[in-house]
Amino acid sequence: MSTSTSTRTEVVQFSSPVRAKPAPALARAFVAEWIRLSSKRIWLIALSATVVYSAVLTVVMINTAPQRAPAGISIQALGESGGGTLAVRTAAAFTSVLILAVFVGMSAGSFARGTWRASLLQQPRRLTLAVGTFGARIAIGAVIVAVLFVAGMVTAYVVAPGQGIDTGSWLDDTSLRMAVDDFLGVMVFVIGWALLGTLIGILTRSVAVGLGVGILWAGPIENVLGDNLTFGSHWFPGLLLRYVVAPETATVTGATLALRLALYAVVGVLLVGVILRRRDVSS
Amino acid sequence: MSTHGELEVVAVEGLTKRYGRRTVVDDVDLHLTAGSITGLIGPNGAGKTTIMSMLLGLVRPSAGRGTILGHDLSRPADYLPDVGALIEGPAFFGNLSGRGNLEYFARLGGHDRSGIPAVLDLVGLQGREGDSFSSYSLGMKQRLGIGAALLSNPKLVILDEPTNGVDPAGMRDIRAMVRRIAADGRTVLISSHLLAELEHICDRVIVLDQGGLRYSGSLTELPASRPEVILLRGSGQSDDEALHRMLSTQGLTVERRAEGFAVDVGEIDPAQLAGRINRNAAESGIHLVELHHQKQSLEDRVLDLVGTGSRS
Repeated sequence: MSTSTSTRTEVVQFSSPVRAKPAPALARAFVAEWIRLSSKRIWLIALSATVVYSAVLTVVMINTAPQRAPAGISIQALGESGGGTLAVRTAAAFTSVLILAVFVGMSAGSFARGTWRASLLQQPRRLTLAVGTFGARIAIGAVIVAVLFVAGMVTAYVVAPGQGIDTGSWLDDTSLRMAVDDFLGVMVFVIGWALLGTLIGILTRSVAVGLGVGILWAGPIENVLGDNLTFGSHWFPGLLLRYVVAPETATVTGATLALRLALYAVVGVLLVGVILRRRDVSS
Repeated sequence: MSTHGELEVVAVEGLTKRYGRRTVVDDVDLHLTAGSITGLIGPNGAGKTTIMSMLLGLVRPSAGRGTILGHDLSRPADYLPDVGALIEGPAFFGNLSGRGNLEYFARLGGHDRSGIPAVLDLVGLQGREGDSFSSYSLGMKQRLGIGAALLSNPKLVILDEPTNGVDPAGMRDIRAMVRRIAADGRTVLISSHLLAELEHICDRVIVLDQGGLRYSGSLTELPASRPEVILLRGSGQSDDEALHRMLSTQGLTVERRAEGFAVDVGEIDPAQLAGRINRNAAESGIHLVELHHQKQSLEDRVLDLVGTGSRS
């Protein structure tokens, strides 16, 4: 049925109010999310937890390192260039489930709480909003990873002499280059798990369901099935990400690893984009 | 421009939403004139929120075309900067304060944050703006939701059940707030299933039922299924009998009801008719214990249009 008191419409042309030109939408989404997440309380919790985690894992890794090993962490490797960040880089590999949970929680939570809907009323370009907020979260992640490295190196400096590790080459040029490489490797690891968590959150739109799916995947499926299946060890995304920060465990390396991760990233971004653009936003 | 010469802010026709075989909004036309307050009425499940969501670009219409603020309905990003909305309840970040939430959304939308104090003042949250959103009562959350809708100084304001869960005093405040919003020249579309709520503030109503449009027009023209009557009763049986004789001789249409007599007002001014009956009764020595004008309420008229009860 279709009735109306009006039959013909003449489009109303409103004059635009004089407004200061706002920043680009992507920058606004980034800044709004950065500031939202930058409360003193959040930084205090995140950074203190990072420092404690980094310190404890570094101590444990150095104290339990074998004298020699063909690859990975050992007393010998710790005494060479790059030894200062070796332990903390390896420690980052254990944070996969935590990163996944945080990003599932943030993305699914925004649907469950309705803040995604409310944000779209202010910024209707969905992909712009998603990319801006994701970028801000990754930027905060980068700060946390930087703190993780600094805390790890400081701890390593304190602990190393007790284990007879020579720290003399930890600040040479090679070590600094390796530290940058390690930082970038950990950021790839963080972005990969963050993208996976965001995708799961968007697909499930429920924190509880998303966490269940994510933990099931990142735990038993990736680590039990993946480690025991040739296909899994070559293709499971979580294992590929682990190879970036713990290359001594890798069954796939170099360009093949980079290409497979890039493939996952493209598929993940496309999936997120299509879902966000096409799906209705309703509770 | 409408046929009445009024500027149309929303001019949408054939708006339809289907989920599989289920049609939740069926071929609805919407025409909102500038500066008007239009009520979207219907029982739960009538399609009110879905219609608003389609206007806001949150839900993709299955069919329908038109313009909002002169922009095509299919391009919500073009007109949403001038639209403010509260839909499906207030949604904010619990760890941020009321003001912090408004600042977040103002930043996101590129709105001038210096306007936030005025918005807080309008919605009556000044003095509580620093409190955590999670500590707010439902009424305060609704007010903050309305405040967020006003951040962009919008030309069109869409409010979905803004009085949901609010106590009577809060409802009165929100009604006054909506009037103030419209008084600034904004166009307001407001939904509610509490029909009496809209009766007090709306110029026009759109009545929906099961996704379809049942009525669109002014409140005064909303069709009444029962006649407007003067209800009256004598002090006893003898007075009632005399009253019946008197009314019948005056050529009035009288119906005997359990509560007394109902005299059809017809085309006569109800106040004049009531006065005449009262005077005649007094002159005839009839003692009236009840005499009042009964007009079908908006709620009754809407319920007659859509059938009774909720379908949620």
